[in-house]
Amino acid sequence: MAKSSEPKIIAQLREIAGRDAVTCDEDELLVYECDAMTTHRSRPLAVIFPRTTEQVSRIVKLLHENRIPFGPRGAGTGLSSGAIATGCEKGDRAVVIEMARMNRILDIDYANRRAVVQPGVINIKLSQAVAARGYHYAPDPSSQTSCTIGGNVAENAGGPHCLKYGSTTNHILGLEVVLPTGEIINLGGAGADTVGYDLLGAFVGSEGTFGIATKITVRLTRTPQMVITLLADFMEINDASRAVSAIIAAGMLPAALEMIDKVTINAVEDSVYAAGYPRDAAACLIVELDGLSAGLETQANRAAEICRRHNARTVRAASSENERKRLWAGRKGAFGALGRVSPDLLVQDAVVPRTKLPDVLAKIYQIGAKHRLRLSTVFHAGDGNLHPNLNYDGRDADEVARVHAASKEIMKLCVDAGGSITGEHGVGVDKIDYMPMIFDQASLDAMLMVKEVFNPMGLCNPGKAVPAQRMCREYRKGFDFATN
Amino acid sequence: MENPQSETAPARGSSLDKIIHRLREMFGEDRAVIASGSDFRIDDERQRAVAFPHNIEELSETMKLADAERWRVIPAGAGTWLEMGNRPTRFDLIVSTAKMNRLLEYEPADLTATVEAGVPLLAFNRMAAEHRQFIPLDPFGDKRSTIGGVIATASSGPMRCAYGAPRDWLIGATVVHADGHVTKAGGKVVKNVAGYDLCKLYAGSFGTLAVIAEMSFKLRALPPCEKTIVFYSFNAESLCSLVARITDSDLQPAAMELIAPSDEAPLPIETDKFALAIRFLNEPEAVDSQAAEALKLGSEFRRAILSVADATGFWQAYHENETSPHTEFIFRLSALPADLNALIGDISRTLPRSNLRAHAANGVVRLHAGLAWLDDLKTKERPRRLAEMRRLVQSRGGQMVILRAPDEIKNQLDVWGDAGQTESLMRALKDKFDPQATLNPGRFVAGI
Repeated sequence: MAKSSEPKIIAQLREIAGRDAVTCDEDELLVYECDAMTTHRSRPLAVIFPRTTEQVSRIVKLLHENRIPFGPRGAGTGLSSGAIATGCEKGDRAVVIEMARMNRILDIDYANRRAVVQPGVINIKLSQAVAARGYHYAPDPSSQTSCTIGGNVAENAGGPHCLKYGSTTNHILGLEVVLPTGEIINLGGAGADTVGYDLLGAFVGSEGTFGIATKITVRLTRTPQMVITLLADFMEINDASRAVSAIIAAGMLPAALEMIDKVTINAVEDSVYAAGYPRDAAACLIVELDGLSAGLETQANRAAEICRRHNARTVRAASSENERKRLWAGRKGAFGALGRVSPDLLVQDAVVPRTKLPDVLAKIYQIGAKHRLRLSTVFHAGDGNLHPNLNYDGRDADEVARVHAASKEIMKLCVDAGGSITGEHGVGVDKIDYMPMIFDQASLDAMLMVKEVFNPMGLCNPGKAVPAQRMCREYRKGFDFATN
Repeated sequence: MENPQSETAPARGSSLDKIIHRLREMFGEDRAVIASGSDFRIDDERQRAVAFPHNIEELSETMKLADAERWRVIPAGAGTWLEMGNRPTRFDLIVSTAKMNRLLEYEPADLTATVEAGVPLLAFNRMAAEHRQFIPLDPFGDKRSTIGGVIATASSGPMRCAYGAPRDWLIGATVVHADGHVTKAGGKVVKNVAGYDLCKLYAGSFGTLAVIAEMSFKLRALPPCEKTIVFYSFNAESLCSLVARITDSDLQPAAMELIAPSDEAPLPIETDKFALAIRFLNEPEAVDSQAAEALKLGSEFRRAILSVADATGFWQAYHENETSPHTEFIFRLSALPADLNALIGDISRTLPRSNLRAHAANGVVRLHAGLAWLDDLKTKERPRRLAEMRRLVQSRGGQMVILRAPDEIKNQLDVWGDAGQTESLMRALKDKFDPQATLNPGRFVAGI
């Protein structure tokens, strides 16, 4: 039965979405084996590209009826291996439902400051579409020129500006969702208050394990009247992190407060993203203040003064919009630039209380040195959201082992400091083993209860977000596609 | 004394004396009281058993006892919003977290704090003000309102305009489940996506999933300066269009309240016409420039710039007035902000002579009425009118919730309205978290 089902399923999928909307060619499937985190790989059984909610619903229903695991995917820019299709058991293959073709902006409603988009819309495209009217979509992950809003919803994505504006969850007003059974429902609504449990809030950040968002209502944010972007450079990294803590402690709320260390500065300056960061600095801070023009310079002066008090060598403001963009292009291109330094790059994502930054950061570098690794940091300092990066060569088994050991030590350090294992990249496959570091089994079980409500069979994106005893329920062993 | 109709009270499983005796035996004399009068008033019950655990361990033990004895529990904070919701189908015990009122962690330099559920929001904000910080929530209600209660009821106030809802500030929660076991969600850092965001589910769940014991918040710096301007007009439409102009401008008002004319509300502003009260909170230069810009945008309106003392008095009276005990009815309607004027039209036709106030930028309208309003409508007419009002707001994609109403109304109308297509998910969630329906049975949406 199993062997004859495979072509039938593929044929049925093609029937729903069209012949050209299903890929099961092994070479083409290679692309979908991993996302932007290359550490974990899982080749899907097939990739299907739906164009409508109705197609998504029919696809999911079909897969559900046949007990075939599946997972949604946007642009595959995620950094937790959340966008790879994992089966219910090791070695199983699942179907990727690729949302990229559902990429239309459906409605822009300035009067209510909201827009309705399909999940495949690229993050920055929405901001571009509303820019002329003086609005933007606030969450701005570094990958915003390629990541999708659907993926942002799944991961509750952050970005530099969520220091002031909040993460994705603060900007999602409503969702149309295809549940893992294929049923279509709406979460949220027209009013600011909806009745009953905040299922919308629970869905955002559920990493594709509660269903697939097919229509997203987002909040549009007024573009600030004025923006001042400061670049401060420090000869001691400790001074930079103490300046960050001091700015937060002073009650200032910059739009963004980013730190870039020396290794990253040089990787950026060697790349197409070269931003003019001083190569000899131990660290740079980008401090961005935005809002009403009245009083903004006073605030910028205060921030600059705090940097100087913490031994900043120079503090300068971007003198033009172009220079500002260049400073940001360097920051947002940092992962790309670091990626060129070695065959592989592990980007970590941990959070600590802001007051702990100087201490934790110093210890992170010690961990890197202890394991003889090329460690760098570039991160959302204002949120305490660290991104320690490890450059390595995946072919060197010894180095890989040291990367994993260092990674785990860094996580433990951040957790012990009162922090979290992920601030914006999500748990995905990558950090699922770290979850017991911050939650006891009872707390994980409470999360799994919610998962069982949305995804009782566990077929939707198994193996992500929260570790489960059994990944899927009543999983039929018959579908051994790997041998077909 | 004030509850002569106790024969209509919901069935009770165990005798009050037995419950109180068991609690005192286990936890001490001061851990359980019999409340009467307006204290922790639920329905028409003449007397209520209230447990006061002093910490999360006692709360957990109390819930274990309740579970073993099959007592139905109504979680509460200071008990100031117990009238909200449908009438509970059954209850034996109120468990109040009001005595769990310790500040557990507060590091001003991190702008985060962790508190026990019973800390009053006002007390916390008064303390944090010494560090020029606050939790930017200003829900209506009693001064005693606890942070746990504010979160459980998702209560917000005028500052929602700039600062959002309670869900936006809660970063972590420790809860005690119906059977007494303790779990955590979220954490203590401002940015965190580890695990499902159960904090969102607990906020606004009315204690139907678990009892909130401890919470962590992110804080904001207290703005150093403020200014309130009131614009007046005889018609709501022109003020609604001013609201639209302001929300489409660079201005960032902290609050923007539309207040309908009323001869009942004792507010220190002109109450014979529509008023739009706009509050700016910011650095001095930003407040001044915004006030100037607002005056320009609303140049055709009669207006008043309130002095600092008047503004303080106004916002205080506005808050106190909102939940005055003389108000027999409070309804909350929520629709798209741009539909506000149309919604006001619906209201004036369907529920005339109710007092109307709105979070104008959010599309949230609160309607108040006293007994006089009740007397104007024939008994049979009342629920019909309310159902009609709910239908109208739902036809705009919105919702109407009855926050306060006499029992005769609650017996005929679900206070929450229809949960729609999410009803089965909500029921399933409740069944997972509280399979025995111990917590607040019948009080929430969809009979949960």
